[in-house]
Amino acid sequence: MLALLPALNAALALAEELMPIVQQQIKAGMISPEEQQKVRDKFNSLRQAAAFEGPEWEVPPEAPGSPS
Amino acid sequence: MNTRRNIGALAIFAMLLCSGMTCRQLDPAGVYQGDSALYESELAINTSYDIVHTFVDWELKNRAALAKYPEIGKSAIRLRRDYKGWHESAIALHDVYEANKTDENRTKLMNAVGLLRKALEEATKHMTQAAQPST
Repeated sequence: MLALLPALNAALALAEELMPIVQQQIKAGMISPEEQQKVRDKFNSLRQAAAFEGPEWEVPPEAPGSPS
Repeated sequence: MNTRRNIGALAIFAMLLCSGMTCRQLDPAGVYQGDSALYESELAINTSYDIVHTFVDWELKNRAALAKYPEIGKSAIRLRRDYKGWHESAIALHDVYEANKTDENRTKLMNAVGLLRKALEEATKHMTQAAQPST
């Protein structure tokens, strides 16, 4: 567990980024035009630039547990 | 502890997305003009990509330390193989629905979003699992 704690940095950074969204989702009320625009902007940038090319997306050659 | 709090927030967020509890009403003055299917699908595409990308990167960088969790390695392999197709399919079905808002196209889009939510849930489950103080 201790060895893994530093490794969780990316997940924690993401969690921190998502915290305001969590709070927005929990609180009552309408989704404002500004909130909607943020989602749309992110979607548009993702559809143009979603990357699946880095080493993190490569399937290990000796991949254990081949899909059934 | 912040670590547990943040991981907990991530898990709660995933649960909210997966359970469809994110369905607050849209202000019709916004870009979605009240269309919740478009909003939900774009939110799911955005969020699942971020979380799945974080998950596969985290698994790659910590493969040795994660060896004691073989299910995490298997899940990462499965998501590397399948997630891109799910992502692209969801975007394609989003565009089809946006151009022609029929019930059938909406259902197809929501089915594709369901796959993304499952991927998000799986990635989140494994990251929270590894963050537990004991296994």
